[in-house]
Amino acid sequence: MFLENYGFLIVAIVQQALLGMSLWYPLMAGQLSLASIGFYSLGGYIAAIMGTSPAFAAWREALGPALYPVEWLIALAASALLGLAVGIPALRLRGIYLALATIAFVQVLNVVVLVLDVTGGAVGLFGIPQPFESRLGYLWFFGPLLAVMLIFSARLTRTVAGRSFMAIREDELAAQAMGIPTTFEKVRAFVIGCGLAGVVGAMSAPFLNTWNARQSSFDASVACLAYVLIGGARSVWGPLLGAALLVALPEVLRPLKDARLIMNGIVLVVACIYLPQGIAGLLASLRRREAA
Amino acid sequence: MSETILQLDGVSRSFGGLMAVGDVSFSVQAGEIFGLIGPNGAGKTTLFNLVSGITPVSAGRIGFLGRDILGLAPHKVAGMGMARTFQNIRLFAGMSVLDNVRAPMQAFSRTGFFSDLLGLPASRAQEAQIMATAMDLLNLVGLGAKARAAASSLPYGERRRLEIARALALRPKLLLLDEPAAGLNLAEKAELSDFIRDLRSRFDLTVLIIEHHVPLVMGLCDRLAVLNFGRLICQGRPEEVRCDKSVIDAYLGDSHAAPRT
Repeated sequence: MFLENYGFLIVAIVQQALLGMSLWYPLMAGQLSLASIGFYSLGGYIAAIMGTSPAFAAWREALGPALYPVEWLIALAASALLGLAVGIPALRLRGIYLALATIAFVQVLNVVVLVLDVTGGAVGLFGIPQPFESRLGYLWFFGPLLAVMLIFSARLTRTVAGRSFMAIREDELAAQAMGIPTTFEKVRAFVIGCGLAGVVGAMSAPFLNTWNARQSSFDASVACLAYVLIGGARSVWGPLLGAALLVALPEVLRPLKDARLIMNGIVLVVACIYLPQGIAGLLASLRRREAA
Repeated sequence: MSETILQLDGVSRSFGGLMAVGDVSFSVQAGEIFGLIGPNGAGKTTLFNLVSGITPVSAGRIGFLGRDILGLAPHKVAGMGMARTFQNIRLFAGMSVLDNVRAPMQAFSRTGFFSDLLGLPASRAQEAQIMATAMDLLNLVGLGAKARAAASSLPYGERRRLEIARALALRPKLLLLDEPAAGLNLAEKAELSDFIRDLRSRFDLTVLIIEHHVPLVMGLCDRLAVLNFGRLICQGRPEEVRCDKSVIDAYLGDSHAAPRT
């Protein structure tokens, strides 16, 4: 019963956590990007078009349920390529300018999507075939992806590339002076995030049933960033913790009616002031205190 | 006849109208410990930034290991075998002591990104190698026991040593040290000379060092160059520099001058 009622919420937490993770990788290399939501949108359109367009009827016929993994792979490839094209010029910018450039990229993408026929214009695409009857079923999509990405993140921090990312985050100039090709590594971290966002988009199109330009709103970008910052940008678990709190909070606070939006804001402000390393940082310091 | 490691020809750099470094030429030979001294604001650190490619030169040429390195990205210069420390210590503060030393070793990585992620045998062997080298370097600077601590938790003197260990991880041929004795106590300063000489012989290094502590410089360096207002006013062996009239006027003052006979 509980799982049926809260199925949507659980899947939404996992899905949003994955979107948060797509910002976590560039942040690991010290780059504040808000582009993820654009690649999420791109991946979603790829899945929506392949799921509804008559041009792909033969594919759907031939592949059956295997169409979904094919959509993910195409979304992954397309997002990574577009990420490379956007990342190489954009990552010459630093700090807030990179954030602005990535916001601008998402806005451009949104306008393109609104004027094209293939994306259904302002109405978007709807009636996207759904592989599962219940919302909870989508955990078969997002759950394994989350597990894979958590392992990926944990492994990454112990690899040559991961150490280069962190060195750039800590001190870009010193990293350069220590022989680390900073532009290359920043683009690599950015493209990892773009690829992930694309796959999450491709999985989300059937989950949400419809896809339109509202998927990539500025609000959604900021929400993804909030998951990482509230959860903890330096912990592998940060995006998941942040998404769990921020996605569940409005549901938990439903009895408060409109006042819950105020509560949401208060949580953000309090977390920013008192939890500079996020929830993950708080848990780590509590554990250290217990050990001492 | 020794090999020239670093060659500067008429190197200049201006910031707006201010000439920070003007027409500086000198060369550093293999195996030398070469000192760069001068009053505050003389352009010593700017010269380091020019040599390591962090700041572009306005005019002149810089050769490293016989190759013109002007316009080369800093990470490429570093990859050729030039490592440095910073006057105001720039560690990767949020990373562990161990990871500070491991990070530069990416330059020698022979395994791919996905091989590393999956922990394939080649990557595991390489990680073991990186780990062993990093621990050797940390033990050398006396930080082996603190490998897992955060770099930001180290006291000042240990941070200086960690920064040197991090630079050595690049297996440099030329090591640039920017005021390595700054902030160290007298005992630490005394150890530093022996330590730098030991490094030179152990790693077959050439050292270019900026230092203010005159006894240390005079005792340690094979040759010195003296900068004042961005210009090279004198270069030579310590005993020559110490007697030079312009150096005494600009920098040393009478007390450090050699007794005249």
